[in-house]
Amino acid sequence: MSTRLATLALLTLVSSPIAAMAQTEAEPPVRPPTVEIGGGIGWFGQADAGTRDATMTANQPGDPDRLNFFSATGKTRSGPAGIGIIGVNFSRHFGVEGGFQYSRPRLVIDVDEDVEHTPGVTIEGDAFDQFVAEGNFIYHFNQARFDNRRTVPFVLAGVGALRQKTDDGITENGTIYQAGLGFKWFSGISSRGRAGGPGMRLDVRYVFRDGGLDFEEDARRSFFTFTATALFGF
Amino acid sequence: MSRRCRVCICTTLLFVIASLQPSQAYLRLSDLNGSQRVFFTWANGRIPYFVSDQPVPGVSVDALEAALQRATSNWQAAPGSTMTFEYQGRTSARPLVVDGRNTIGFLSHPELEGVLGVTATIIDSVSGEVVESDMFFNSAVDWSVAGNGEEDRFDLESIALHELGHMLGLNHSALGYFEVTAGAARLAAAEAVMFPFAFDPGTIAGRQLKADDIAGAAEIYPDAGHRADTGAIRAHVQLEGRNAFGVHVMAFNPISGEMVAGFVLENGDALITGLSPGPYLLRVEPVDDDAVSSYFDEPPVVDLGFRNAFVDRLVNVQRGATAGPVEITLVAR
Repeated sequence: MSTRLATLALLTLVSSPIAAMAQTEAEPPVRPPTVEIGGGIGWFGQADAGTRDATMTANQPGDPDRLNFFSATGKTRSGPAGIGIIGVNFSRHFGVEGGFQYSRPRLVIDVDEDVEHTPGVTIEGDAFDQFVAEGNFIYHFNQARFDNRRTVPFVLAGVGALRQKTDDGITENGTIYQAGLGFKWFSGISSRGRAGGPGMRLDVRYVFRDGGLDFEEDARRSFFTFTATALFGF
Repeated sequence: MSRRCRVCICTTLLFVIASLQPSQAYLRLSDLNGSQRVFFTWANGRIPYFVSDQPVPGVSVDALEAALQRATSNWQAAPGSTMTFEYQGRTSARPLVVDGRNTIGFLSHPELEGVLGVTATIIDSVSGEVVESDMFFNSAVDWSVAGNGEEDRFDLESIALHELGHMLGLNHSALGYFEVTAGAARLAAAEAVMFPFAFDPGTIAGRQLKADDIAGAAEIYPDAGHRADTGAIRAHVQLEGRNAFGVHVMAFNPISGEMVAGFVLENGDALITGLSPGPYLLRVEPVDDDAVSSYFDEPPVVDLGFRNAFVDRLVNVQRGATAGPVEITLVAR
């Protein structure tokens, strides 16, 4: 008796997903909006800015070494960013988007390793303007939609142009390369199966920065960003 | 108008072969006319000079002329400045003879132990304009003009570059570091041609001007765009509730690696000019008490009794502007 009950329970468990899948396949597929626009806020993580040693020419014949007088190690503090995006989806899965970010990170410098044992110090620099213009490819996992198919996970990858401008007139340019993942949620799905209307997006990105404000030549730094964006799709 | 001139021996001592440990900065040659500080300068940035026709073992007059040619060209090529050294030919006159000519050559002064070169300048003490400037290299030491230097011989071009800096109106910089091992001090490194102590014999690293030297020359003889293209930092330094004097203030740009410095002079102020725009961190330190006379001729009122420190704020330098004053309060030791 108990064996029959267990078998029935197992059959029920196995058959339930099959029934659910059959139900899903019966519904029209959902497509992302043709056009998405949005704006929101982000949070970028702290990033190294490299180390620059204050050096002097060593008293040596030939090609002399450099003597380290002290070291300065920089980083840009984490902070908020403003974000604007516009995207175009050209299939159920693929889309492209252009975005713009503005933030005011702050440079912080740790000074230490002084050859004359001058006590080290952490110096807070002024905040500077940071602009990013980016372009990303998006892949939507439509088969993995959930929340009544209104929420779709996605991954993105793209590049961007970075411009950092300090209040003292220094401008540094660079390039960012990023990859990330997140979710988009739209409040409505049309009768033709297209998501749209007001929505929201959350994503996390891993960003490589090549160039920009840095104490070392040709340095490539990495950091995370998190963004939350209000969307409208149509 | 009376024209009062006097020989300024403050320009002299140079390149002692090892003493003690100073710090950093470019400093202009100056003299006090009453309470007014007068800075040395050449009218129109033109510096005519003669070469004394006395050779020394290892250095012909031709070789001396060639070394001076390279050294003067080096200064003339310094970015941001405009000045011209004008070679006038050979002379049978010796340096340090007051004859209205700027003469460069060798003199033997074995009693000046450790002194490699001397520049003596006569100025109009009202305007600071140079009337005559002579330079000699001490033939009591062994010299080299070899392209890669020679063991146990001092590099003439390096020392000439330093002495020519004095001729231009630069005093000593303290951008150097001595290390003391087993009770003996040795110059470990320097980052200014105008550092008052020479690299070891056989070393030619002193043939290259550094940012501190370049900033100093451009301060005296700026070209048309220099002041608009660069910025400055003014620091006001106090010790025990009064204005400090003689304190060394180094400015370091962690992005470019540029290192330039200045001294605190009157009113507790240090002005560091010729800085490329960007963020700078500041470091203050006393000059070593054994080296005070390398920087200041005046009565010894130089503040030495305080601790080295980094200033805990970053100073942003903008083109054509002076940042500050950055208020610095020293901690007595």
